[in-house]
Amino acid sequence: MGIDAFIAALGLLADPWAILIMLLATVVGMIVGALPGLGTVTALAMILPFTFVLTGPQAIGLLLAIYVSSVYGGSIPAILINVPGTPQSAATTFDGYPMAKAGKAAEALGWVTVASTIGGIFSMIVLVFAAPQLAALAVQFGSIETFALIVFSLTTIAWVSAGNPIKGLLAGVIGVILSTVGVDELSGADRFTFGNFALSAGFHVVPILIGLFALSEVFVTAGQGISTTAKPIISTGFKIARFRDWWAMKRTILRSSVLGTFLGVLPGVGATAASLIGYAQAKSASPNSENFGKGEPEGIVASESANNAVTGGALVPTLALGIPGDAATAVMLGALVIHGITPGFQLFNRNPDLVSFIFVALLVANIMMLIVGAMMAQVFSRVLKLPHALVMGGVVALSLAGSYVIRFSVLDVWVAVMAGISGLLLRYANVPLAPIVIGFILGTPLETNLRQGLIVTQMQPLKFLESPIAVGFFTLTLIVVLWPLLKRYLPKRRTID
Amino acid sequence: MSRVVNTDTLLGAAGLAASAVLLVSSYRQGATVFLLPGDAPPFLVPQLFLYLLAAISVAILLGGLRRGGVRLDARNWRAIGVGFATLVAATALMKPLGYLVVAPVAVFVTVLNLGYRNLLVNAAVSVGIVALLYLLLVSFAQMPLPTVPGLGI
Amino acid sequence: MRTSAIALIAGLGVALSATAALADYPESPIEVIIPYGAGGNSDTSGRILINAMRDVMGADFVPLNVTGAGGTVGTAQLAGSDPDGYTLGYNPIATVTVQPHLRPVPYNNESFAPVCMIADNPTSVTVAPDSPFESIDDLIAAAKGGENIVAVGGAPGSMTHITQAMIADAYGVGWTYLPAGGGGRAAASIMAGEATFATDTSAMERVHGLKTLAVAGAERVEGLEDVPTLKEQGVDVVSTIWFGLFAPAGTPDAVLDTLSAACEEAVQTDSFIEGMANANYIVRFMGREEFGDFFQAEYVRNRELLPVIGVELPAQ
Repeated sequence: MGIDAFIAALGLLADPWAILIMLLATVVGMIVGALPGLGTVTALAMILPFTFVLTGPQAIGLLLAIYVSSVYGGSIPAILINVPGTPQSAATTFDGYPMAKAGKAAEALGWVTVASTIGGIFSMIVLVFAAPQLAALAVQFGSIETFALIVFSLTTIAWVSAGNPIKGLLAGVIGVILSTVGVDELSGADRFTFGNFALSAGFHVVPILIGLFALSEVFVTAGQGISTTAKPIISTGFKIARFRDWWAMKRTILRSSVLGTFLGVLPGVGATAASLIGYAQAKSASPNSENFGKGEPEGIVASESANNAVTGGALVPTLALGIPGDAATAVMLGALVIHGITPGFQLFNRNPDLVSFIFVALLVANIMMLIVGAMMAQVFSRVLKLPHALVMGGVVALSLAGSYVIRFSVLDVWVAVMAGISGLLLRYANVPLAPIVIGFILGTPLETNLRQGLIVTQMQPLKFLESPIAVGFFTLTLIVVLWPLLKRYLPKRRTID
Repeated sequence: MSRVVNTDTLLGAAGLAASAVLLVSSYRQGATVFLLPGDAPPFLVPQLFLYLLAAISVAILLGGLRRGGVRLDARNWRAIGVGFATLVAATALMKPLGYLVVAPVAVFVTVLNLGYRNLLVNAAVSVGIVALLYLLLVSFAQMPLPTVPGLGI
Repeated sequence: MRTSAIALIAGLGVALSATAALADYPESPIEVIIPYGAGGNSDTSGRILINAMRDVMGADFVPLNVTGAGGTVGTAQLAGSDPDGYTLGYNPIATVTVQPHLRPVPYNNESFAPVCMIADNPTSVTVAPDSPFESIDDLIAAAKGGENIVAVGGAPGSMTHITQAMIADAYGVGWTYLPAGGGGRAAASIMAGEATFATDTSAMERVHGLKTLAVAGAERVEGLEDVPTLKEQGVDVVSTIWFGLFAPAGTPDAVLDTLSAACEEAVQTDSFIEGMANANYIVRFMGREEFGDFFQAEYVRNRELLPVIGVELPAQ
């Protein structure tokens, strides 16, 4: 990308309308992201009609601003009321909500805002310098390679099991089984639908998230008894930690950003899984790993930098190949196509100016997100000043509406309510809830890619090992699974020496 | 009975029961429409995971039995029951009566159930937050919520 | 005399109120159910249409994405909606004419009142740009010679699946079918070397840079003039993917006529033509009557096609 292309891009951005539109879009995206049940895809789909009347660059700026800010927006309710506003912020609830309950909401908001920006800008830089090369890498991932990648990703369940591996495994298995409900596309068979047509679509992750995290909290609060619903000490506002604390986290931030970017580039994983995996990886490598889940800032930093890093990563296959990296970029792809911009193998050659503009707009969108986020977090965190019971009431209103508008189906509201009561019972039984989400999200691509791989190899699973990428991931999986066992034997040998 | 019951045995029993029911259902399935050459039968993967669920449930159940019966923690089950019933009723009535009617009542009852005594503030917040959500979702985002019959909103 | 006067007045009253209702239609926003996710193939063209109709009718059209089960959930919702003209649906061929024959769904060919067809894309056989095949005959020869050929497309029962099965059947060969997905997913599969060819819309070459071996349309496609059709090569396989606007059965004729007329106007607007061209759709308009007949014919035709993909049809 040459300097003159960069300058031309900046020139396109000098349009005051473009800046204003992007600013508005950042605010709107943040609010929509913060409303559980809506999410990034909905935010983009909502704004799509408005793009028809804009010029190409204005539309691009609008879409990128919404994309980036909605991913960040999801972290706000995750911290304040234990409901992820978007599925990508599910992992932020693990440490964000405990921080809010301990009175550190302002600090938490500070951490996630800056972490999201860093993740977003990191992935943007990667996009700028390596998009075509990364796209070539992404193309290498067929069904077999993706299957191996997902098998590896499932090992992260171990890290979010809060020290109880058997129950964590139970939760993960429950998640996978839930993902199999519905019509099986590859065979047309109705699985576990018990004759109910609405169930043939299967479950959607958002009502499950709303139920397991938000409604279960409402029930748990009810179960605690009236006397203990006292007002917690809250710090509202927005506080950014000192640079020293940030520097101490540099490895986590880097690792999560890298993970997010690459998982965004690769097909079949998605932003939600990326943030969960980012969280799990950070926990596995951190010296503070026992504090994860109790309000450790490293946890929310890992989750939010990972999910915002997916934004740049998912744009790689979208722009370079015309293949959407995830559902959100699919909407953007549709919008670009309507504007006469055909992403794909020709885009980088034919329209280098436009490509540069996209990069610059992405950078501006991330910076705007930081500024607007800092201002709006002050407003949002005031919600916590209300008595806890009223906040829980608001959660109920949000849950009923949010789970309905996913697919305009009352079934999803039932799912949320049932997930809520199940979440309560599981929490009482000390079963970690995060692995359910991981199992659910990864269950479908796991099975689909396995069966596609079997079709391609004509039912010879051993042929999976012919792919070097697959072998690589299988080996990594074995290492991760066997490492705790190895660790037990190695120190003994050292003392003998 | 109390010598056997603790959270682990309950969990294990529940898991075992669920996996049994679902496994039976999966074996009873009718013919599938397609079986592409090379593809695994559609119930293979769910069944594998159901067996895994059963195995883990047994492990937890046995572990729980070994631990012996424990007095379950005191919980306010009455409040939980009320809360759950409220949400169930709200969901069942949402389509027939509309979101704008059902949601404020659900919120009001939930807040009351959690011990908040100030009825006036409760009512105000219930109506207020539902109205705000309605404006945001239906008017602004154009995502329709179930309408109140006769009023069309 | 009095009875006939009353009858006349009553008749006038009904006619007046009908026209009054018609004059008022639409009074509130019209919801258009799109049975796929935002940003997908159907969604993009649906929104282009909705935009154009909004301009033409001056009314508010709201797209609703109701996803699930290969588009059947949204289609079922349309079938179950009130036939008052305020709920419409934008559906491709498969959801309304193929899926009902594959599994029990709560709708069939009598559940809908077709309004208009707006696009009809022929499918094509595409391979990787560096593939050794130059024509469909090369591909068939390779298949006959025992090479491992893999066709990629959408879920079993989709038009991409049916098309490649029709081609295999016509030439008397067999190959493996990989249901990885349509459009971009199929292109990715081909480029990863996993699949040999795809039978998706003719836009695959333009959008993803694949090489087109043949087109499964009635005539050659604009932009792919030097690619022969299968018909020209003596193989009678014509497979297209069409998209249309539907209303629930029982919607008043007056409403349907208004919509159909508006649709006809909409497809001629500049914004629509440009948008569809950008989205690589081939516009083809059919008004209410013609589309109604066409739809019923397609419903029967696609049922007859199903044995080619191995579906046993129960005796009707």
